[in-house]
Amino acid sequence: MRLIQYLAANAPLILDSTVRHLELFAESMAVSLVLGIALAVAVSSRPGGKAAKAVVSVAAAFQAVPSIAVVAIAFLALGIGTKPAVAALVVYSLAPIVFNAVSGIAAVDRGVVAAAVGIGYRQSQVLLRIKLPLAFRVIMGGVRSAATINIGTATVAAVIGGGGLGDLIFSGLKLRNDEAVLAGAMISALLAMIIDALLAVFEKAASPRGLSIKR
Amino acid sequence: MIEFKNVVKRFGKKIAVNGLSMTMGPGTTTMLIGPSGCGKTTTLRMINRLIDADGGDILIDGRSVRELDPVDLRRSIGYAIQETGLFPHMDVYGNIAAVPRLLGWPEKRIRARVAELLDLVTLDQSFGRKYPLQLSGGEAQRVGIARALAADPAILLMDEPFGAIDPINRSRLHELFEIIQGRIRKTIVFVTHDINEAIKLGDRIAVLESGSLVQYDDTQRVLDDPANEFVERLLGSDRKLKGLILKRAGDHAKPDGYGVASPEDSREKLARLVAAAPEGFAAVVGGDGRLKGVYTMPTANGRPLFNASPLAVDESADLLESLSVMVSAGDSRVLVVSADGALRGVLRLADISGEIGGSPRKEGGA
Repeated sequence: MRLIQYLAANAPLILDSTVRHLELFAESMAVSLVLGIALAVAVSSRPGGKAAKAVVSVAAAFQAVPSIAVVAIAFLALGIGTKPAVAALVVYSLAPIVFNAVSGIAAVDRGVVAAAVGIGYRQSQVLLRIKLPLAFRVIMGGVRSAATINIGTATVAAVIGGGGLGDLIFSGLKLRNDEAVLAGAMISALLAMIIDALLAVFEKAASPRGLSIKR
Repeated sequence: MIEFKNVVKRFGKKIAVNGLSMTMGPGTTTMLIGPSGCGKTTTLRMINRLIDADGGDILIDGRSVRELDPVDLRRSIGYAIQETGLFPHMDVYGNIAAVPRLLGWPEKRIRARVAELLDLVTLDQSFGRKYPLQLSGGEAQRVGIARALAADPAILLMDEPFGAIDPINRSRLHELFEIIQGRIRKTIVFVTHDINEAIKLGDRIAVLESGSLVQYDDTQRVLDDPANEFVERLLGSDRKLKGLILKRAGDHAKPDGYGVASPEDSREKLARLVAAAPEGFAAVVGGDGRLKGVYTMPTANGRPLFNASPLAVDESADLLESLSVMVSAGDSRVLVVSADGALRGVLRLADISGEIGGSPRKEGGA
């Protein structure tokens, strides 16, 4: 009951925090996506697959680093404000995107790739027309976990002045305002679920038809 | 025409291909055979520069492949591999259209070509909209062949294309392959480890052992005169029997030794025809020229007995196949009919034995 009263009384603040939270998410995800896919493509184009293996292990190890540590390092390097918050989020969501993209591209059936090269696809055409479409679902898996992690980590980024729903949580903790904490936590959880569901719909719609078809 | 001139390929210290010189003539099917690691696949892949030779040269119609851009070269050569390598995210149409699209053909020309190729590999036009996951192994391999032929290349490279197919579908694909090659007459280089496949499909067989060419001859010559013990072992102890694969029933059927009757003939005439025939039967041929059945006389003075589905093989069947039909029916002869059902003659066990080169075997109780 008191939660509903709190929500009603602070609607403009909560709406502001939510919008701010989504801004942080959108900005950092856009950069992560571009950087992550570019890095994955660059690494996957190197012959031999050694670079890809190295990047996959680094990305895997990086996913084990706690989000608060990345935020703390961003604070040390860039200080307080929006920029360090976005930077921390970019770095933190990069790992799952790169991990999945590189391993997804590497997992494309070698026979299919050999056939593509054998009938005269150029390396760039093999990547764009064969490997990326076939790795699409694995890549999307990385994007979806990056998105979920990003929404969660964005709450932590409030401690270095990023704003967003984390402000509600941290100020609520300080002021012993349980309703504020609860509101911030619940709305960020809800956002994560909604965004994941939207991405799932996009993934299904954009997946190559031939891969999911039944006999 | 493809010419290998003293071609050498090393992988690290290992010599994969050791001074290979051979010429594959236009319109011929050359089978590369040997144990794994003998260099046959390496040899094939050097033709379209998936692998570059370390020494020597490979010429296609007199031009060194070194002078050609590898991508252009590959687009001008058909390529089919084991497990087909079809693109799972493209439908059959998209797969067959792959090379024409790379070459920038207009869509209208591509559409006509895909339709023509589906016909050639005996797939219904509706297959164009199916995806590779919806195809059986045999269907997928037909699409693989259609894709390799899409831009009408003069040369077709096939790397164990039927290796992962079950025996029944494989022999169907072999028949289809022979029909297609009979029509299009490409220069085909075909890697296999199956000697029966090599004998059945190859005009010429190249036997490779640890990177060296052991024997390169017409298929019949390889069977008759293996260059050494290695080739002999590869052919197996039944190599004389395998020679039968090369011979067609239609060429060895004899149109004599039996009576020919028409469906209107009287019982007395039939009895006389059967009695007079050394083979002891009369074939009934209808007005349309088709074989309707045979009459035999099971007992000396009984009535002639009609059999509407006598033991028969198609004239395009090979002699080994015909022999196996005879043996499994326990008979010592088989009728040979043409594709339109006309009687070509009778093929006798003794004639097949003569082709093997041994003495005719005793004919058992049957």
